[in-house]
Amino acid sequence: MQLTENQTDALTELINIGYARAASALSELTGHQIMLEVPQVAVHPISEVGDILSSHIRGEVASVHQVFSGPVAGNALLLLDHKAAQLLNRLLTNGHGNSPLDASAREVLTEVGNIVLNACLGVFGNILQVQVTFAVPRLHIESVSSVLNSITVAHEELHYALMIQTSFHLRESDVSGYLVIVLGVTSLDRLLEELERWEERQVAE
Amino acid sequence: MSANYPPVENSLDPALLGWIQELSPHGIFVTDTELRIKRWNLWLETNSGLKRANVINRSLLEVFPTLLKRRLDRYFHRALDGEVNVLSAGLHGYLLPFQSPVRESGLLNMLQTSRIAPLMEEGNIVGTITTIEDVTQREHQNTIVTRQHQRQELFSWSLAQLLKTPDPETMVKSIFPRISAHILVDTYFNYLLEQDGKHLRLHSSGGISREIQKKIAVITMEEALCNASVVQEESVTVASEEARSSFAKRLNLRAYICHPLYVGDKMIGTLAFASRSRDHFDEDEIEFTRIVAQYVAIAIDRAWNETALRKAQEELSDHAGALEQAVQERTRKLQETIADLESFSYSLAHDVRAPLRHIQGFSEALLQDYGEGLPAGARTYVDSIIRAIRRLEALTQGILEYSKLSNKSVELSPVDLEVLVKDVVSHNATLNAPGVVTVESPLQPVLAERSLLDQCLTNLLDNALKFIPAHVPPRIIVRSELRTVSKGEDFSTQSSAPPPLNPSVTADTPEPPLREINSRWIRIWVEDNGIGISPEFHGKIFGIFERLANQKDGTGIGLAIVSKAIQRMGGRLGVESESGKGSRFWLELPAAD
Repeated sequence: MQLTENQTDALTELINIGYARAASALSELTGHQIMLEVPQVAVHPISEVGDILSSHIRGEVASVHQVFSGPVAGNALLLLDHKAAQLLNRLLTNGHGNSPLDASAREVLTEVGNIVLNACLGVFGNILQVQVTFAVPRLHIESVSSVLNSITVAHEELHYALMIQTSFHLRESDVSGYLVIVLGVTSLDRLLEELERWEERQVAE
Repeated sequence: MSANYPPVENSLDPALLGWIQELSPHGIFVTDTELRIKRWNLWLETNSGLKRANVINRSLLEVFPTLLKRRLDRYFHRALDGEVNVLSAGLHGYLLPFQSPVRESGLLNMLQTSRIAPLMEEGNIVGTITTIEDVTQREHQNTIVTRQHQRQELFSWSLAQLLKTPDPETMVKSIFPRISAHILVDTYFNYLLEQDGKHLRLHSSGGISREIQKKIAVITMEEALCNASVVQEESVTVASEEARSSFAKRLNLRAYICHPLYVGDKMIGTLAFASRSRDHFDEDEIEFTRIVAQYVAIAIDRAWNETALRKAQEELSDHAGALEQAVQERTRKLQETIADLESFSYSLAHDVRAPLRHIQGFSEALLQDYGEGLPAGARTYVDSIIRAIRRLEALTQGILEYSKLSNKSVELSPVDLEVLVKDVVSHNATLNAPGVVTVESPLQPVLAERSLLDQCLTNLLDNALKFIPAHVPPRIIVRSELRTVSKGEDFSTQSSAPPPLNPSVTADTPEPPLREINSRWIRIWVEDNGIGISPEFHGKIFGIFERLANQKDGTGIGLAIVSKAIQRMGGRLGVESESGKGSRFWLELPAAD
């Protein structure tokens, strides 16, 4: 399944709205000017996600994982490689050198992931005009394949992953990661449908 | 909390919730959609000091007004929109203002990680549920670990700086500010011991004005912050008012740590860190600065040793320079003296010649004109006078020639040695007699000034003749050999020269500059069957006016002229001889091809 140019544009715009909200929340929280950028959005079958991520992320990955449910249900993850996670934590908390990802750092990353995921999914919920509810976000530090195992639901339904490359700009540094939203085919169809309607509304306005 | 979790049996809900409320190690409270507190667990009662009865049905934002001030109310509103929010201690510190359970951390508030979620009932949001985890202990431990980590890094950094710097004395100065910042002190002093062993001089300091710096630049041991420590070789920490030294009082320092700097059992200075605001240093900080003081002591000691070494080297080099200069000065004076002497001897010889000719002319005229009238004894006297005058004439001639050599400009060109030798021999009837001079052809060509070499060979051959006793038929051999400089001044002889009679003695002339490796030289030998020269005289015979006791004739200047001429042409000369066994003189000049 491939997104059309229009769908890609619409999705990118939507995510940018969510990211703007997340960035403003993070900026206020940390006192630093923070920008979130979306260089790339794509949809891939879940089976391809492992290879794509492995080519960008080496070794262990810190993932903030949040399950969401409702008319549109799935898994949302913010993935940062270990170094990026360390850097992001340091930049956000004015922390020290190569501080390890201790409990405190993990909670900070969880909160950051939570803010970004909430912002994105919240925007989706608004667009779809449905109530999306969330589970508590959890942070894991493990290999990419372990992350994927934990979200491959034993469902008959074909699953797709909305892959959103994400860059944090703060304090003259860049931290890159991935936002991955895994949806069943039904949810994805619903999302794309609503997206088209939203676009039509935008044009009409 | 989410549709993914199995629903709890409704009938069990109240009992289960009750237990969770009481047993939970975390704070749990629930609000309705108006954010009125509906549940408040035991943990919260314990940690907030607020009894359930005092908070239930009250607005959360009213009970905790700081939530509004800190704009944390929005998280509850988001929960009402269905979002779950995590509030980390790292970014927020705490959600509700409770007293810190860790006293020594200096923290007033308990550090908390909170989760604020929507409370769902049959698919509808009916309120919010919040959990609060106390992470103060954890964060406190983290702070300690981080601090230790920073300290280790600071140690490594300092050590690396001090090890790699060529100037440790200056480098230690750059370390102090970072150390001070790390242990949160506002002032530091590093004093180094003066050579008198009684005073300390300020080497580096921070946190004090220039004026004060000047005032405390040099202090006595008694005045020092850690006077006692210097004596006891121990660090001193002082916090109490009574114990503070007058020095500390003068600078308004409330607490300080002072370490003596020791290398082995040698005290080289002190290092003190002080604070105007703190009144306490913990064991950790004392230990940390003690290690820093050890590093600093070693670094300073290294700097001093290196300085001493450098100074010694400089002195040695200065001394060598002075020596060189003295030698040059002496050489110059010597050369001046020689030049003066040469000029003097030239003038003398020149001026003496005119009166000499007079005496000679009149002596000869006397003999010629009045000889017959003179008694036989008188004629013998006149003959003696004439002979003496001739010798004197020859001597002045020799001195003139020798003097001229010093001023003559010398240009070397290839000279055919064989032609030259024949030429020299042909000008002397005695030499030219058959069988007297044997030339062992071929004689290799040399680089020389022809006139000078002519003079040398003439003098050497004349000299040879002179020292052959009258009853012995003179035999003189002239031959040459090629010598190549292999290493240094060593020669490898390439002709089959006869073995020397005794070790060769080189003329007492200044050595020419070191010869180039592989340069080719021709050694010209003049060998006679004369009376020979004892080895003890070999070093003397080339000096001017050196005549040996058994020398029957001559002025004693012939060989001096040879020596001077060869020296001017950049060659060498020498003799191998033994009394009664003939002499073998040699000259060495560059090969012409």
